[in-house]
Amino acid sequence: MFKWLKDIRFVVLISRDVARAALRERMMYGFLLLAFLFILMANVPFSVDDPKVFQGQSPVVSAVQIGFVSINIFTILITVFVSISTLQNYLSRQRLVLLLSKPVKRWHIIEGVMLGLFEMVFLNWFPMTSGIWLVIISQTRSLELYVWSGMSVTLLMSLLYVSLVVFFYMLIPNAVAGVLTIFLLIAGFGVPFARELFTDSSRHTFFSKIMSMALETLPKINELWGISMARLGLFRLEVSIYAVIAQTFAIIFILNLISCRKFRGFCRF
Amino acid sequence: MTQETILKTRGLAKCFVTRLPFGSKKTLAVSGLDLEVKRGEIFGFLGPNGAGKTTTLNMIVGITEPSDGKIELFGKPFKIGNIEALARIGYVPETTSLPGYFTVVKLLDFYAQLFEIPLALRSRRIDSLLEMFGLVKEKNTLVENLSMGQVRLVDIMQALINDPELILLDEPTVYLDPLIMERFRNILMHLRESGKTIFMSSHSLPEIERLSDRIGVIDAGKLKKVGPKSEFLSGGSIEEEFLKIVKKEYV
Repeated sequence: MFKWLKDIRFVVLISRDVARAALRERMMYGFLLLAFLFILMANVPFSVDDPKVFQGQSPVVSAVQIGFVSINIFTILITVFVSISTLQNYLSRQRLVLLLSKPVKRWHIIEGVMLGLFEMVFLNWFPMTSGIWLVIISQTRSLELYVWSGMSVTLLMSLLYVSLVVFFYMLIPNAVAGVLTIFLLIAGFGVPFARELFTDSSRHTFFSKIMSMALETLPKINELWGISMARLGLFRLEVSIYAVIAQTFAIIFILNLISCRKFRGFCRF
Repeated sequence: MTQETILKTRGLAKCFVTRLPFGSKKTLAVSGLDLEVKRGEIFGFLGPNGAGKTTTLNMIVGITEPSDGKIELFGKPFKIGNIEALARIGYVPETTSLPGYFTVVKLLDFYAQLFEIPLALRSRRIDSLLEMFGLVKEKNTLVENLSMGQVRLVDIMQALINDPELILLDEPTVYLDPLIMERFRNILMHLRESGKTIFMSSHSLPEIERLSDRIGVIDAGKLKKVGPKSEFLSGGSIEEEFLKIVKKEYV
């Protein structure tokens, strides 16, 4: 009756083990330290008297901008590099053989790995966002809760990055998976520009139609950033929030399905 | 009285295909393997390096998919993903990499949870295993701080956490010093007395000679001889018989 609850229990159990393994990666703490140094710089706009330095922008907006850029860049770095390193250890043959000989299904393992990596990213995202939030609170003396809703988009994006890393790792089980993830993120960032190029009516060829269709399936990193920035009050952007978030979840779901399928081949020793 | 067959293989084969830039290369690791292991016996599985022992064990436990043949566990056909059968098996792989960030107790608890053992029973079983293997003092030590021999013991302990009916051991005596080996031998005898079935693959001929009830010799993926220990001792020692079987192949 509660078979799915049992499945979730196994996935969570494995995810806790993966998160524990990921949190032992020393490079993660290096990235986190650097991120905090950048986040502390968000104090600077409040101590600068000359408004010309920040082009007349209010100090709060400048501080949020610094926090937004730091958190996004370091989330990508932590997700990609720490995940690859963790996967290389956790999904090594010697480690995997023990898990495979236990009464767990293969999809429990791969979903547990994804959830564990996401837990690790969350444990990095939370102090980073708290950091920028505390900086703003300490300067403005008011609860600026929009910081949390704005930065939560980064969390969704990190779930996408984790899914991409695991997906590429199932195809190429080495550090190249991380490089491919970064390439795809860059491609995803350029979707709006490429879309304009390929939907130009003067060049309506079969190729351009195929390309514009393919572009629609890429993760829309640019638009996700746009949603985050709009929530943070940095820009007034008109982005179709629900459509982009739904598409991101759909991509994550499909990547998970393919990774589960590929994992069967990955485990064939 | 006929003993129940716990493990049975018929025509078991495994062919590894290596993809090359132009074509592929096939390696036959195991071929036409017919084995039967009865309840309550210790079956020694002997063979030189690369004979196909680990591949056979990996197929039995569902890690490697057979290219051909059938496996029956506890009287039922076994295929990859059959978790009901896996819940009744304990497996010690040849080489493992136990997570060093766990203490011995936490590690055993993690594997016990994979078998859905209730909390109270879990801690009782962990305590009794720690006592049986003489690692009570090290129970809160991180696995990464244990000696190689102690890690190997923890490897064996994790395989016993579910109180399995069938225990598959792949080179279990690697890294064990004579003192720990003696304890390990006693544990195996105790397990046999309590009705467990043990399938042990090893290079260590003296261990197989001391412990096994029946022995199977595999070489180049094929089962060369199988029978009770007495058949192997007729020529003097198991070592002589083993070398006779294996050398014949190379001559």
